[in-house]
Amino acid sequence: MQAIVRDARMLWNALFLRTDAYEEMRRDNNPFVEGLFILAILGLLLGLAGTAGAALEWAATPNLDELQAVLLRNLQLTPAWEQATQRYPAFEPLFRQIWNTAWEAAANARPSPAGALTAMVVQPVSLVLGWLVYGLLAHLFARLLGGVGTLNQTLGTTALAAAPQLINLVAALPFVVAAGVGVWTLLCRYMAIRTAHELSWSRAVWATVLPYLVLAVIALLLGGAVAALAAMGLAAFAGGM
Amino acid sequence: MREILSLMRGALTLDQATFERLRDSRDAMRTGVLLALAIFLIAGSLQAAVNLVGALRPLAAPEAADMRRELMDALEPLLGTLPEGSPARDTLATFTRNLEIGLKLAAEVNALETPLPRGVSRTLPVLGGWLSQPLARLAAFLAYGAWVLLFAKLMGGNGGVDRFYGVAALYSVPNLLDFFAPIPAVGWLLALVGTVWGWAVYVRAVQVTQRLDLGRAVAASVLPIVALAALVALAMALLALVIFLVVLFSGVGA
Repeated sequence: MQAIVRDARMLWNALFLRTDAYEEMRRDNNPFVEGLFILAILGLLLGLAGTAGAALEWAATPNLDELQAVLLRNLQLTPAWEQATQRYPAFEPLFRQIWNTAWEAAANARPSPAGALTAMVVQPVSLVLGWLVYGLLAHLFARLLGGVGTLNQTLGTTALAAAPQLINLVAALPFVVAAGVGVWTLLCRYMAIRTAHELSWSRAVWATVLPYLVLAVIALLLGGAVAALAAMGLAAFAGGM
Repeated sequence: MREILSLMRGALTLDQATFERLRDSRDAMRTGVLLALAIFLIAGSLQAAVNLVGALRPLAAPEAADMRRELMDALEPLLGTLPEGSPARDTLATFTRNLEIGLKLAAEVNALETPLPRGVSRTLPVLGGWLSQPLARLAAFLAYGAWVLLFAKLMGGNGGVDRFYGVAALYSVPNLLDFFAPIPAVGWLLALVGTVWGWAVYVRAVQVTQRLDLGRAVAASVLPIVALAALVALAMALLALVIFLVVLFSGVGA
């Protein structure tokens, strides 16, 4: 219990960029295990909050099928609809195809208790995976830039930098959008890397930002590869026809 | 409470000692950010109350019919002046027909049932919007602040990140005037006064936390906006050039 209270205090201080919180983590016997524990608890709490919020949001919104029916019925009464269907016979089937696809997508994106329960598992896992990937890259760049911290210390302090995720606990309330988590996390990561590696401010900025750039480039390359494969598949499909 | 009020008064009067005291406090960022969040919540509360009244009194069919009648009464004299079969008359007829359908649609959507009781279902989105708005403002503050901090450091500033954010968050204090924003005619003016006053507080915060002279503090505070404007202008110029070239070459091709 004492450990949880200590970690909660450290997380709260880390949220407000207090150097002593990051230093405390750096001096810990095993920052990696400490960080993993913090992230697991945080992920679980976020999952619970998300489930509560999604359930309330689902209960406060009307049935999508009924909403769709009302919208379509009224749309069909408009002069524009009348003109389009009279002039272009192909309009209505094409419209219905697009309309149905859009509503299916909306139904999938709609918050639901089942989706939130899935998030309860996905949230902690993605939090830990994201932390490991970022932590490893940040450690690499920090060391290249003259940092002196160990991997254990980098991972411990960057786990504390997940403190802005606490804002996402407002997801327990429906319709609340938690903005600013990304920027705040970036600032916390800067403090984490600077403290763990005792870098100057400018080197710490680079060590913080470079992992984002690397990940963005990888995402772009992967996106390009997927798009190219899809285009090739389409071309092959069209050729087969 | 007295300390918070004293901090707010010091921020409003740009009192150097108040800014320095907060800068030298260990909990500068916690104090500043929590104060800003509380102020943003209060500032948005009148608008939230207005929204709540609107949400709890949705457009019912009789009200929609009244609105339609009022609009038709207003349009009647205009319709009389337009000749039968003229395009303007047709456009007006289409407009009124669409409006009628829109009002009917709004009433029907409002009548749809939700699993939670109607009052609760209508209140929750308003509550969500009210609570989201301070977080959105805080996000903008943090993102903008990162650039200001970068420019300040490049100009020789030397102050902690947490201290900077803590003291700069005092810019929110004059923004309490946003509370009056929903009041017609004068609301926007009061909000504008709050924004300008907030900028003055922000510049003072940059000056005190980064130990810069006034000129550099002003430059660091506005440079992110200038850089953003320059980037937007450049992007628009490039877009215009591309469009011009496309038009030019398509004209040549034809």
